[in-house]
Amino acid sequence: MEACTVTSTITDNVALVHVVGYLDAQTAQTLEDQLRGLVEQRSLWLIVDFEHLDYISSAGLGVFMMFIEDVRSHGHDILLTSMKPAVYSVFDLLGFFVLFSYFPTTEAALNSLLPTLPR
Amino acid sequence: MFALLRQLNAGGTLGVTSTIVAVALSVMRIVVMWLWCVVGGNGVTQNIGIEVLLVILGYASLACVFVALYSRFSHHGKQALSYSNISSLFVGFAVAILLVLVASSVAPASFEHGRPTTLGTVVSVHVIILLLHTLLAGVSWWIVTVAIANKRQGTHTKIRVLTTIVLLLWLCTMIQEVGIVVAVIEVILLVVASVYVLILLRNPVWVQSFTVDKKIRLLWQACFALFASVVFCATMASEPTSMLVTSAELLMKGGATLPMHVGVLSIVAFVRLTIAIIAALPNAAVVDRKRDEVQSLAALTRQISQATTLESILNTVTVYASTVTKAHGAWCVLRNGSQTTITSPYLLPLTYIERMYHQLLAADVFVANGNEITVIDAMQDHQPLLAEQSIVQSAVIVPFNVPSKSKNTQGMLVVVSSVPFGFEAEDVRLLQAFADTLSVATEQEYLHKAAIEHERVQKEVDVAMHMQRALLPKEETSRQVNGITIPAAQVGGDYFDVFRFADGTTGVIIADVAGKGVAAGLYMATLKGVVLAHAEHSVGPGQLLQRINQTLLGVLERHVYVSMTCLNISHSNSRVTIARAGHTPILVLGSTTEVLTPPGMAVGIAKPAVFADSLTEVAIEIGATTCIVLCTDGATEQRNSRLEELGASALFQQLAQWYSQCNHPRPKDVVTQTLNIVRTHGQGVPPHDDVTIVAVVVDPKQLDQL
Repeated sequence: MEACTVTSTITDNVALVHVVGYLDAQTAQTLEDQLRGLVEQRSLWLIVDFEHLDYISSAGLGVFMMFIEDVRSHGHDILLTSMKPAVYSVFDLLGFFVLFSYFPTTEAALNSLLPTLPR
Repeated sequence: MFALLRQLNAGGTLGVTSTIVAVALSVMRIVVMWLWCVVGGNGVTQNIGIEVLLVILGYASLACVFVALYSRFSHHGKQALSYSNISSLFVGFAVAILLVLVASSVAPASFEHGRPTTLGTVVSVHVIILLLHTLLAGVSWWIVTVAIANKRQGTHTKIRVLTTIVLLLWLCTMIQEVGIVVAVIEVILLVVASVYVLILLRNPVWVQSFTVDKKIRLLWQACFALFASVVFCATMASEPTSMLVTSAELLMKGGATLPMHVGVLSIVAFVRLTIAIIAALPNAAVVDRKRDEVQSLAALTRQISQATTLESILNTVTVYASTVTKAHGAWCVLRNGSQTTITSPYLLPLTYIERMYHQLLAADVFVANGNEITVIDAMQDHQPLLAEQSIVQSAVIVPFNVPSKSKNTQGMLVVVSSVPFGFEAEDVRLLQAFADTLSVATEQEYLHKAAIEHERVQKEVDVAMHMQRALLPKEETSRQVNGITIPAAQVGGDYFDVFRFADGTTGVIIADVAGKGVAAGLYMATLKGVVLAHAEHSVGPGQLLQRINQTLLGVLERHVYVSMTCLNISHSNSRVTIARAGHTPILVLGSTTEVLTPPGMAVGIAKPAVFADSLTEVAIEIGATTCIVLCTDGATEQRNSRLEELGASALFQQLAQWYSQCNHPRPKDVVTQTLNIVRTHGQGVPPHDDVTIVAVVVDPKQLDQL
């Protein structure tokens, strides 16, 4: 079974989450726990970096569905960035980009947040 | 001879018969001797005829006595060397010998030159001599068969050898007058017999199996028997004119010497046994302890195997642990996470134990969740204050495992003593063995329950699997549509169906609930109802998907969504309308090959307005026979052993190539071929997601064939 590691760094009120490896029904729990920790801790912008994610299953996608409403209810959002084509097409086919904002790089995502962040 | 006796004894009446005959012969002998010696006033040896008659009667009565003894004791060789057997032998022998001595000293003895002069004397002589021989022969027999030769081969041979030596000794005593050579041979034979007895008794291992107190009692009894033998031999040797010796001599010539020789042999035997018992005393405590350990472990295992609940198992363990280690109290502690339960107290009240346990815990005397055995030899050294307050002066704490469904419960067996250094190393080792047995027993109990539970769940899953199959269309539903679903687990989250829209046109739907297994399967069942309920009021795939989204949005869990594709075939088979809600692309095989990915997001993630905005229906005009292939991502994402995905484009390309070579294949053939491509790529790797494939063949020349 492939592994999935999730790491996160918090700067100001932006959490940068790196998802690495293989995200399926078994490993989705890791991501869920990590995101839950972040969301319940305090209200944050979440930037999820998919640069090193090789695969995502429907259960993996479901994790983002789980938290999007909570994050948005606090006036923040979940931004998805740097997806490999295979991962991108999964999100795209399911029409997730109607719901989630996507940026090709984490820098681009951060830049988009600049106007909203406190100086 | 023994074989003959065994045969005669088979009826069970040999003992009684020979006893009666022995008594009758003795009575006859008494009558003859009374008439000849008392009434006639003659000496026994005056007439050779009378002498021979008396000898024959005497020998015959003795022979009958021996036969009676054989029939009484021959089965004792098979008896276990129990304490009661050995003990009764020792005491019985000693008491009987002393009784004979007492009887011979108080019996009327009136002799004149060796001739009995009264009837009372004649009777006494016979009673004493018969008792004496019966006793000596019986005891000898018992010693050989029970004590010496028990459960060993060659018992009868040993008896024969000993009997032969004794008979030779007797012969020597009868012909003593022949010369000094016979006397020397007699001494040599006595020595040989003594050595033989010692050889027979060379390894009395059975002595070691008795408990200390029984060994000590046995030692006293052996000394008593030895004392009786010595007194007997001394009496026989020192008083040649005593009633005992005279009686024996009246029975036969040299009749006094044989009992004395047997007495000497019994002295040898009892000395040897006494030494053996004394030698076994120093390690008696160790033997006792080992026996207790084995017995308690065996009993514990037996009790545990009969116990049905954890509590009853623990109760048994505390009782045995406390008893065997001679402790003054025992209890068990079960810790599951932060929850601590004290259970199965023995010899101490629970309230007292609870208070003491928490004091011990607070005093940091031992680690509550440790995996090591803790031995507190002297509480005084560890916690003087506690030692003064509580009766516990030493304790052993042994951990054990109790497997449970959620998490392994850590258990502790606590055994306490009210004296310092109340537990030896052996006790600790035994308690460890108890804890190990306990761990194994609880593990077995848990596995047994888990197996039953697993079987129950499996049956429920089987029921779910059958119900789900019933929800899917029957194979060969129509010549126009064919589909297959292969769940990754027993129950899957994929669904496909063929139905009619409000206008009576044919509709086909394929759906994939996010996730797999029982949860997805339950949503799939819900989905079927929702689809069929809305279908008969909907006029096209786009409208149907919107209605499904509207219904399911608030019903599905947040992280669950459903991807779907729905198509509608017009009455004339000339037009197919398709709507895709986040599902895998659609392959259209006709005059040209086309992969359609009309916009649309999955059901259950967006509000109706957003969903409707994202959804775009596409319509394809059917000029010639066209095949539309719908599948779930389980098919396109099938991986091989190198973890390479098949991919939608590769699947569609291979399928299109095959289709171009076929002449209008049936939908079933298309489904089979698609599955073949998926499986060929998989190279035996089982699919990690549910696989569903649906093929729809639309032929404008043929009208609606559903």
